[in-house]
Amino acid sequence: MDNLSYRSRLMSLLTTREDVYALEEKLENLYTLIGKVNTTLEPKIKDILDYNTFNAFLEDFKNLRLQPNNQTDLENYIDFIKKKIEKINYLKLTLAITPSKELIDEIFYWINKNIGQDVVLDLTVDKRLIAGSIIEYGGRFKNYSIQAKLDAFWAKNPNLI
Amino acid sequence: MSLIDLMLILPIVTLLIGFVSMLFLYLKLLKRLDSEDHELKKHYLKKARTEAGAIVEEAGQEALNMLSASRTVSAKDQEVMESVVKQLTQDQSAYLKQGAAQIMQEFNNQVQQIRSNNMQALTELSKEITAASANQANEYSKALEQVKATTDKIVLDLNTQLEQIKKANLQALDMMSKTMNNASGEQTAEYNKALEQIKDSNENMITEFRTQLQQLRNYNINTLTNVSKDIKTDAQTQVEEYKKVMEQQTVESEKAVDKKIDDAYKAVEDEIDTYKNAQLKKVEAGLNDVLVRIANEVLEKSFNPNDHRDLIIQSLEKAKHEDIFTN
Repeated sequence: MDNLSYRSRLMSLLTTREDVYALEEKLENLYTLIGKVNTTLEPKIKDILDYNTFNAFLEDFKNLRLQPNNQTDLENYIDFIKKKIEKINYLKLTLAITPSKELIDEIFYWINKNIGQDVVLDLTVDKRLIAGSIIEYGGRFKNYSIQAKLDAFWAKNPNLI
Repeated sequence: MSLIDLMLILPIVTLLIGFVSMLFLYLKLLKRLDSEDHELKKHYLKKARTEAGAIVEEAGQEALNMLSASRTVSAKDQEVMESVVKQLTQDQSAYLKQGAAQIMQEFNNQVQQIRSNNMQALTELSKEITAASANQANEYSKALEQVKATTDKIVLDLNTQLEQIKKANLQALDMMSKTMNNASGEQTAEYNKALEQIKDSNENMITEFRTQLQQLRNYNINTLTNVSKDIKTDAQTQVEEYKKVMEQQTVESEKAVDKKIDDAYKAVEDEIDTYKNAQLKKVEAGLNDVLVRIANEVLEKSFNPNDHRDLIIQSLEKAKHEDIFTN
């Protein structure tokens, strides 16, 4: 389980920071199964995870040749995913509107295609932006909002107000 | 080639021909699909351009609306601002009047107080001077009486002495007369003549002496009277001078109070100006906020979800172009 370069199917489901928080909560719940459950683990895991997550989990176990009912494998897998989470690069995006699921998917698709697959969106909504976005990534910051353009316009033309 | 071979080859050839035909048809279909796709692309491009044109037109209209709204708001806010300025001016006027009334009241009180203090001081001083003058005059009167008494005593003493001299002369004359009785007639006549001369001379001397005494007495009385008058005049002069000084001090005090009031008035005016300017700035800032908010609201409404989506993707593209995502 030291191969962190393995592209986890479970990790690929993470689109936003909220998804990361939800997954971390699920991992904590999975931890509670270790050492307490004597019967087969898989049904209990299925109860904790939602459908897509569970399928991704099974796919990862299959690819990594792990046994879902083996408590040691489960523990190692949870640690592996936690390490992957620690290495996530967040792209902070401030928008003027609350984005729809479709828009988030589209943005995420663009990010995967243009930046890389280990990037997760950290979305914030600020209506003062009017439209456009503010992008923060790797310590860099850029304001591409209409508000910024408008501010620049007012600053250039103070006599209009 | 046997018949069997032919029979085996023929289906294969037929199959091959069929396969080639299908391939040809497939390629043709692909070409057609590509062409249709191209048409479809063209169609959507055209549609997108039309929509973009509509968006631009709509944005232009919104901008015009915004301008119109801004003008309307400007006019309204202008009214509000004028009303505020009017109110401020009224407030300022009332405030100034009230302040001025208070200042004048204070001024009058202070002047009254100064006058009252001065008058009290002056009255007390006058009393002191009058008392001192009366005392002095009394003392001088006593001195005058004493001088008169002394002079009278001197005159009396002199008179007594004169009488004694006269008496002695008479006794001497009497003795001489007795002596003369024993003398000759010629001697007697000369003695009588001499005696008459002595007698006249004594009388003249006494008269002269008395006149001088009287003159001395008069001189002393005049001198003392004049001194008394001088004392009175001096006291009056002192009082007058003190009055002048007090009046001058009163005027100077009034001037100082005037200056104080002017300064206070100026300070009140400055305070009001500062307050007025601060209020006007607040109004202006409020107006600016209103205009900016309206502009923002108008702009906000002019973007539909697709515009938002396009601008977000565009910003990502720009960020990529500006190497924001480069490690």
